[in-house]
Amino acid sequence: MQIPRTAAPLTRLLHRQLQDLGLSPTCRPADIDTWRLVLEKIDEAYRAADEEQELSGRSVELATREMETVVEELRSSQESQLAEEREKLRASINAVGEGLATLDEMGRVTSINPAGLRLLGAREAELRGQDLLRLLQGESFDSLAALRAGVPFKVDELFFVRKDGEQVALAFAFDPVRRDDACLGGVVVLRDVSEEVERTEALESARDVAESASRAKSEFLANMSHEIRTPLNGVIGIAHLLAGTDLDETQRGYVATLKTSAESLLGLINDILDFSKIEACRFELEHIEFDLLNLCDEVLQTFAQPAQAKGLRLAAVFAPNLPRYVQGDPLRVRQILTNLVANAVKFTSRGQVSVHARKLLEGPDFVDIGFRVCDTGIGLRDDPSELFEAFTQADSSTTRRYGGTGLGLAICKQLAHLMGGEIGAEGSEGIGSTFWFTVRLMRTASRPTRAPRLPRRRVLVVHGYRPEGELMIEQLSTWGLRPELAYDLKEAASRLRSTTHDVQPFELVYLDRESLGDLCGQWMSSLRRQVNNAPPVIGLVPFGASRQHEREGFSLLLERPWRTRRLFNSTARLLGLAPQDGIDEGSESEVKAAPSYVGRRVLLVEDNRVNQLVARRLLEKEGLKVEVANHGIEALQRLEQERFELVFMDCQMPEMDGFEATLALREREEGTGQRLPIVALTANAVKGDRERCLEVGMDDYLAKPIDLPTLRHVLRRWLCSSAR
Amino acid sequence: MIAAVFELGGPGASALPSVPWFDGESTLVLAFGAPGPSPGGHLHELRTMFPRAAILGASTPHPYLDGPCAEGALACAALRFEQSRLRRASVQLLRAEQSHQAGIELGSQLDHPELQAVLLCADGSVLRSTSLLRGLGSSLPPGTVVAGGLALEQGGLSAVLDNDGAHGHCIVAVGLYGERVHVRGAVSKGWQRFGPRRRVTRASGPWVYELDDRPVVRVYEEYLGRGGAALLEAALRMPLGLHDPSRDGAVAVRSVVGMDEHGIALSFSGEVPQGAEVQFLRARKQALIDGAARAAERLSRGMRGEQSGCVLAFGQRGRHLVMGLRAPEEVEAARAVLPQTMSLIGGVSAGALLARVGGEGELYGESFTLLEIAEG
Repeated sequence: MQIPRTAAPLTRLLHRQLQDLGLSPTCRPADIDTWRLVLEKIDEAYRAADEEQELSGRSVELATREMETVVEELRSSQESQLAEEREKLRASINAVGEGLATLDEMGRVTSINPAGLRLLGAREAELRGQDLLRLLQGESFDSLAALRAGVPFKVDELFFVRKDGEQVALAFAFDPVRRDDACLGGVVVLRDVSEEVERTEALESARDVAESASRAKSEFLANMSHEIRTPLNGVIGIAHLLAGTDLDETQRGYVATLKTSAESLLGLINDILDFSKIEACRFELEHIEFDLLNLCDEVLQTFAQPAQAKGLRLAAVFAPNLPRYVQGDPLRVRQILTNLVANAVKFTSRGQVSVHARKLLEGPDFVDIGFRVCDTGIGLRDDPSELFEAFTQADSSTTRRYGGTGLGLAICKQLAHLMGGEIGAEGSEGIGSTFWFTVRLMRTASRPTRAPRLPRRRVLVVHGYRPEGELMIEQLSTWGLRPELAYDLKEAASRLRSTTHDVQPFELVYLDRESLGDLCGQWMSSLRRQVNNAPPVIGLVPFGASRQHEREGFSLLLERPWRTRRLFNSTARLLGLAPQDGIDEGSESEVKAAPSYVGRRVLLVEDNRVNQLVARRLLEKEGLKVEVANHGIEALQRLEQERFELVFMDCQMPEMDGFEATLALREREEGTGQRLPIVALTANAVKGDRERCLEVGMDDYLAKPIDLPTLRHVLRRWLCSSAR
Repeated sequence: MIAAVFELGGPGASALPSVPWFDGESTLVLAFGAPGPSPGGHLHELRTMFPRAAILGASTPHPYLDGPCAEGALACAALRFEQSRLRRASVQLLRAEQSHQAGIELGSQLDHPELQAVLLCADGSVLRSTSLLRGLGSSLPPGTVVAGGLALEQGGLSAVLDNDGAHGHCIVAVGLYGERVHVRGAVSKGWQRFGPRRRVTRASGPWVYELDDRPVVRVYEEYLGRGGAALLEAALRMPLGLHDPSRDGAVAVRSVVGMDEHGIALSFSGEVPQGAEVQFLRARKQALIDGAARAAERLSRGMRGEQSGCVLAFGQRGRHLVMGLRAPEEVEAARAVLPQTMSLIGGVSAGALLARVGGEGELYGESFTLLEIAEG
């Protein structure tokens, strides 16, 4: 009989046992022995079940007891471990130098370490349960909000008044203790920052002292330079005058040395003053309109003499895009350019120095101008950027050989940077060098800049020194001409003669007298004999040599370095063009004869005797009649009694200074319709003086030491309009 | 493969398969149960019937033959392979320390490029299975299947059986060669942990002295409520689960197999390292029975087609003891799941081995292990 698989377990077992005995649930045992066997089997199952139950019960009981013991052991070991950890933590917290307090979820102090108690000057019993954040931050502080925000924060410095009235400087940091999103409280770390506060204060006062010392130094330097420059101006002026007197050869030599020494001393002082001003950030830039072309020409003219003396050729080339009038600080642009040209001349023993200027970039209201000063001198060694650090020259032997303070380029660099530009140098040793700088200048609205243009006429440049000839070609080309270059007279002659009908003839010749030599005169005569309608010839001659060559037959003489405007205008004139096509030469002109001021009366108001003497002589040399007043009061008296056409007014004087005197004079003039021109004289070449002078009613401004061309310029401005 | 099962002795003794060609070089005869006296016993009779076949078996008081068999019978299965070849091997194993060397020796006797599997039977009282497997691994190629069971005492004798008779302190093996032979296995444990975890504070090899600094025998005595030989018997109901720290939650079953002469140490069916964590295991009867059925299901899923073959089943004495009167249900449950074409033979053992050389596997203590031997 099969045992049903689905039967309940005990039934299944019973089935099996009945089956083993040859029985089934539906068949009774036939005999008593079989019945006994059935009972035995059932008994066996019961016993096994009992035994099993006994074993299971025992196991459960024992395992439970063991588990209880294990749990108990675990708990007590955890507790003792926890207590141990807690004790260690407490010891650590107490050992910490910073104050440490724990807060509950309401911000109340639950514990605080001894350092914290010392800092706050309180006992633990006093602080426990207190709202520490409010205690530190003041009654209005919302500690609960801070805790709920659950965001750490720090306070770097606060003053806490202890119970005993003592004030301590504290810093504290709050860190929330969080679980999930809930803030369970926080930890506050307190630190005594009294020492730090004191240290900061000490540092601040030290900084103040240092700053005021630096200011004092700058002021001292400015004052000193003023004090030194006043007598130095006297020395230079006197030396000028002395040179004009009857002197023998030796004396003349001494005076020349005296002059150059004093001038170099003045230069040195100016450098130091500039540098210290820039260093002290007290340097302010002018913002006035000026003539860029004129400025460059003037700088070149300044070096005409020294360059000539060394046999150097000096030339400038201006790109056609160079604007003529711009706004900015002409003095500082000139200073950089002068410095670079001076260096170029100084470090070049043969060849040429050329200045190139062009517009690099134009914005809505500004133009960036780039200048290059190229020479054929000793060149550069090592890193050119080092040259622009203060007190650096190529090497110390250079200093010995060429002199200089070593400040010049450093000042140029600072100035270029101040004017929104850069400065740099390139070139290699022995080949020559190029120093360049850029400045950002403002466009001027008042005078539109028109690029100077000439028609496409054929012109010939005859030049024995190729580099300069090429420069000239470059310059002439920028104006629209078609220049050609010949290197000697023979070549030039053949070119001029070979002109045929289908080729445009040369209409103008530029002849470099210096490189071509004495044959030039002869050459021109033969040219005129051989060629019909021989073109006019402009002679290029060394600086100051016009007179020497004026009878050689040139149509016109141009002294080197040529002034761009003159070159242009002369060219235009000789090509038969209308004058309006030329470049305005400005008020200053070499060709014009100096106007005569003979007998016209000026008043010089000056307290310093030496300055009086110098200024007086300079003015007298121009033909003026000079009266002197020692101060403002005296000046006002003289002006009341006598008639003058111009007043030179010193600003700083005893009794009454120049500003006061001017104000008084202008007041007196009120309603009379008269206005006597007053030109300020001051050694304070500091920005702001000019404005102040104009403010009180002066008309012009002349910085000491008085520069002759500037003086003449001023005289022309104020005296020519009313010239008799 | 052609397989035939039959029983020698016992109330259900079946008729002998009177097919002379059944015997041969490629015939494997498996025999489990009571070998009987020699000469005159069942084993002797078997050897006479199959003089050329390879005989492999072990003593057990509870043999299986398509279900439970009566004690005193010898359950036999004759498997005639058609394309595979066999080779017999045996080594002496007098002491546990020789297990590794025995493995090397056995391996060298059986090694051949075509070797697929090694079936073995060993005397469990002296075997160290991990050492044996390591020894086999040093002479056999990786991947070779090693499977078998440990003899259990029957009639006062624990022995392995082969063509030469029944032997104590010995390992007998048969190598199966050829591409088409394969041996697969499925194992069911079905034990549950209970009570606290305990640390083995003193142990050496299979011998454990102390758990949590207490004599291991005291702990068992407490739980089982008896000592001495009764303890040994009852301890089978409560094997130790050995925690494997590298496999979280996994435990290897180690059942108690003996006690030292001083009554302080217990020896287990495998190594229990000092420092390891162990926990008592217990089993529900129904869980063990259901586990056996699930193992048979797993094995059946991998079987190919309808061809006949043989499944070697090893129950174990701890489980047998726990199940008590219901012990026969374990093998019945497995038998009911397996395909009818597959014969089942085996018995309650002291442990079953299922491993691959150089790979996973171990001696399974207190498990129900099924091995399919087939040629396909």
